[in-house]
Amino acid sequence: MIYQEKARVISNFEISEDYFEIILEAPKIAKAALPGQFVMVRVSQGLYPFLRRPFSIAGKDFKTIKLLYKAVGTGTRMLSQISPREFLDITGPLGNGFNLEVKDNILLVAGGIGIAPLLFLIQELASLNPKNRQRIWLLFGEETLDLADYITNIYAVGENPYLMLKHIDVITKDGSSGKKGLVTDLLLKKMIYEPFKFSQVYACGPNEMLKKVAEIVPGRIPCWVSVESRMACGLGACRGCAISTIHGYKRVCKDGPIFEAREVKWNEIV
Amino acid sequence: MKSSKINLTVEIAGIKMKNPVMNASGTFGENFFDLVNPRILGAIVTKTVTLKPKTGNPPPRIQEVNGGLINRIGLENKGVDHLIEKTIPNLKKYKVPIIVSIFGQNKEKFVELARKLTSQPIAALELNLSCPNIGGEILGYHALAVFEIVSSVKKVTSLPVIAKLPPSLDFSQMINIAQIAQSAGADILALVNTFPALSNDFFLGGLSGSPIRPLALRIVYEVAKRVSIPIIGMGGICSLEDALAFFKAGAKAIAIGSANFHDPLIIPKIIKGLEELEELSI
Repeated sequence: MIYQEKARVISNFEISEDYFEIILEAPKIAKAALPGQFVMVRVSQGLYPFLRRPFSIAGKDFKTIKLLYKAVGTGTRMLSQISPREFLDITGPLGNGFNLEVKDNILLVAGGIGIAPLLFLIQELASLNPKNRQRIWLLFGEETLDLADYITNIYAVGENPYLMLKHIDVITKDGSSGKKGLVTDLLLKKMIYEPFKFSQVYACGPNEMLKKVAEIVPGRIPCWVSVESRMACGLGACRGCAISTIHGYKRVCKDGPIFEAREVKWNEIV
Repeated sequence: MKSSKINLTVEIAGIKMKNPVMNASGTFGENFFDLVNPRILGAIVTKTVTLKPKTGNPPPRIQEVNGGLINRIGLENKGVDHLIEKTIPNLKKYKVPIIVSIFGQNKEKFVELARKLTSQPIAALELNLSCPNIGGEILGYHALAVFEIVSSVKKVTSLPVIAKLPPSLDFSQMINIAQIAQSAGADILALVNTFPALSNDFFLGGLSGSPIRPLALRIVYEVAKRVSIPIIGMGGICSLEDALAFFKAGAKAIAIGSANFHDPLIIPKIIKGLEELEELSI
């Protein structure tokens, strides 16, 4: 079931330059939301910008949902200006979700703001079974040190031991986190040196990264990716968000945003 | 304080509608039904269907511009057989008049679609003579094509036929095409489809949403004075005020399209707004 709610902004906090975390009070959406799903947000009261913006749900509480976003364009910049106690019209939860069946170790691969849906996945898996925290390996990469501290604060040294992950690896393109390179370099190492350790891989990040993930992860390991697309209706009607897959064009807003990595025709995207 | 809603029922060319509001083709359906009960619409219009399934254009298919958007979806659809087997039975549940939008590359294909659909439990056929996104000419700019398609379809069905035309700001051309559709037997005109446009990034397609409203409204105004068949007005309607302007310009019904992307609840809001008026002369 999908809901439209007038969500009160609880907080809208700048994590680091251009990166924000917003918490919205949206009880119906929060109750129904599953990791991997997203919301469509109307960022202004007027007709500009015209289209709502899609954001993966990065976490939830009893009545609230959390979104992470980067202020890169018109819509997200407007969103970054919105203050607590203002209201935003939001629609959700939309799309399919991640597969939550976890029996063994799983590997999460996140590029930049792509961490957002994986944060919700971690939260949900931990709440389904506290043992899952030991089964999750998180690889996180970004251009430079932007989100890494925020993430390790939640999962390594956070106040909530319920969320603590044992295995987090951070890498940055410019080396500012210590390790220098791409998150897919870390993934490749894992697949080569520990080929039978992980039963599933989950990834979210730029399309170039997801294409590499699809190439690196062997076919015997299920690999779920969350993809992005321009969206108009977000509700499956207009077919504006189509992505090319081996089964023809699929709608990212309704058939996705989670797809099996090897079903997507990456050559047509990147 | 108003105690009762006004009566919004209209009948255009034999289609009885509880109110003069419908969605524009390709902008409503699927998950919208969780938010908007389709029963409240005066009519529901399906996404344009072709004889055989069509995959549509490669992505990207949309770009936001200037308070609206340019689209080049390319009529992706599962074909008329799927519409008959699945879509129409699903929509019938809601007991709302169903208008089926059809497109064929030539007169023969339009006629075959009309033959397949004529005995379906639907209220009307909308002839998409105006899609700018499928390559080749836009049929609706060519008087002969419009005449032949409309008159040929009329010969094989007794369903009301709606001619959905492309916009032209050359009013003599626009009026000429509208009058030709009328004389070919069209029961209703749908004015207008998207405007051919190009974004700064050179994204090419049809422009819709608030930027086109004053243009679409002008076209409805000019054509309404010179045809006698009813007009469904559309093009950038985003508010009750916009809707009322189209009625004032001569539309007998309105369709809301891209505004559904901006606010999925816009259709119920506009219907409610109409209901709360003192009176509505259409």
